[in-house]
Amino acid sequence: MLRKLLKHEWYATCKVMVAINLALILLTFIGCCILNTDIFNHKDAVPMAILMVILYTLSLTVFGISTLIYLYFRFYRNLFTGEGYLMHTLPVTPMQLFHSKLIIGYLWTLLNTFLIIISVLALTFIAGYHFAETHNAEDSVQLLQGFQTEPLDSNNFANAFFEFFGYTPLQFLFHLTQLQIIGSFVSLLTGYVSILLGQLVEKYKLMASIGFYIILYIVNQIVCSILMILPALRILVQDTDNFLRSYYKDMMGYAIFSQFFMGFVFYFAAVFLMRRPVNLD
Amino acid sequence: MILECKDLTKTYRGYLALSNINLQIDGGHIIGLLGPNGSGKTTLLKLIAGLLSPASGSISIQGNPVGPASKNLISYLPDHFYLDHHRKVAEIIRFFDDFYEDFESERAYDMLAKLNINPNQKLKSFSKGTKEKVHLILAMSRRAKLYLLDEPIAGVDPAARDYILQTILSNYEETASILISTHLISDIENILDEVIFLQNGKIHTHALVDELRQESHKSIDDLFREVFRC
Repeated sequence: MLRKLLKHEWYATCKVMVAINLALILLTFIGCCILNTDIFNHKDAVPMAILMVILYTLSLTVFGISTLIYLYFRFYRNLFTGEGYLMHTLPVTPMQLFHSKLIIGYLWTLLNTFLIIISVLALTFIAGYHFAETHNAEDSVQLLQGFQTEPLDSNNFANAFFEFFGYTPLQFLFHLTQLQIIGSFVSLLTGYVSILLGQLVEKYKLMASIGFYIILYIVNQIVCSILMILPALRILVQDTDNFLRSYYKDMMGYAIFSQFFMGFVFYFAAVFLMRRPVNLD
Repeated sequence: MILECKDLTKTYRGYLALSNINLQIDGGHIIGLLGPNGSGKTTLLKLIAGLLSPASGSISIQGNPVGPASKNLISYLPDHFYLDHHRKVAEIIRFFDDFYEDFESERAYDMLAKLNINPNQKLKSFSKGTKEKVHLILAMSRRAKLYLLDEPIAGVDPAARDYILQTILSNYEETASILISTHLISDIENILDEVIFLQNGKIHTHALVDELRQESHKSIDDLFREVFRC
C-alpha cells in the first residue's frame, strides 16, 4: 500500500513542484545568458549588477520557501481537512500515510535544493568563464586554480580559502551539500511536526501549527548554536594559533551533527504524533 | 454480524456527543439512522469509519477493530465534499481502484454514463448536485460489507433523490448492510428495514420498520415528528 500511496502522492504534487523547479531552471538559464553579455563590463553597470544579484538571491529564497510551504500545505490539507476524510478511510496505516508524504516531500525538497546549488555553481562558473575571457591569462589561471581539490603552495584563491576556512573550495562545497541534504529533511519535518502538534489543540489548529513552527524553528536554532559553540570552546582551551581556521573547520561537522540530531528528534516526534488516534473535525 | 458497538462514548470538548451506545447490525439490512440535529448521527458514522476515536467503548466490523482491515470493509460517504476538486473524475476512479480491492471501475463508469457525467471533467466544473452524485457513485461502486451514508440525498432535487435511492438499492450486495443518516425520512422510509432513533447521543429506539408501523399505526416520518417534537 505504501507503494501506491507514494505513486499517488508523487502524481498529486508533480504539477506544482515541476512548475517551481522549471521556473528555477529558467531563472538559472536567464542568469547565465545575462552574464554572457557585456552589460556588466563597465563601471556604470555596478549598481545594476548588485541589484541583479539581490534579485537572484531573493528569487532562490522564494523558490526554496515556496517548495516547503506547498509541501506543508499539502500535508495539512490532504490529512487534516476535507481530503482527510478520504485519506483516513483508506485501508492503510497512519504510518504509511505519513511516510508517503515524508518520502515524496523529501525527494522534491532535495531536487529543489540541488537545483539551487547547481544554479549558484552554474552562474559562478559562467561569471568565471566570462572573467577569463575579458581579463589576462594570469588572472584567469589564478581564478581557475581556486577550484582544485588540493591546497596550492602559491598565493592563490584556493590557498587563501584554505587558510581562512580550513577547507579547499571543493571540500567546502561537499560539506555544504551534506548540510543541505540533512537540513532539507529537518526543514520538512519541522513543518510536519508543527502541523501534527497543531492538531492537539482544540481550536484554531492552523494558527497553533504556525505558532509551533516558530517555536520549533527557534529550538532548532538554539540547539544548532549551542553545538556550534562547542568547537570554539575546545579551540580556546587548546590555544590554537589559527583560531578562525580551526573553528570553521570543526564548525561544519558540528552543524551537520546538529541537523542529524534534530532530524532524529523531529522524526520520532512525528511518528509518535501520527500514532495518536485520529479526530477529524 | 457486520457491526458491533459496545458501550461507545464520545465527548467533544467536554460535551457528551454519544453515550454508551450498544449496537449490533447484521448483514443484508438497510438501517435508517434518524435523529434531530446534534443527536450524534454523524459522530457515530465517523467513529465507525475511523475518523474519530471513542472516549471509551469499542467498535468491531466483522470482528475487526477500527483500522486498515475494517476500512477495507466499509464504504463511507461523508455529508460534505471531500475529494480534491482539481482532479478529474477518471483520476479519482483510478485512485479508488488502486486502493480498494472491491472497487468496480466498470460499474462506476456505467453509472456515470447513465447520468451523462463526463469522467474527463474536473470535479470543480460540476454543480453541487452532480458532485453529490459522483461521490455517491464512488461509494456505491464498491462491494463493501458495510455502507455508511451520511445525508446522501440532502442536497439534490427530488428527481435526483429517486435516482440516488435506486442506485443505493441496486448496487449493494444482499449480505451487506447500509446505515443511512438523513433528515428526509419520508423519501427513504420505503427502503428501510430498520430504524435507529438517536436522541442526545443515546439510542432512543432501534426496531424493525414494519414492527414500528404496526405498533404505532403511523409512518416512520410521523413517528419521528412525534418523538422529536420541539
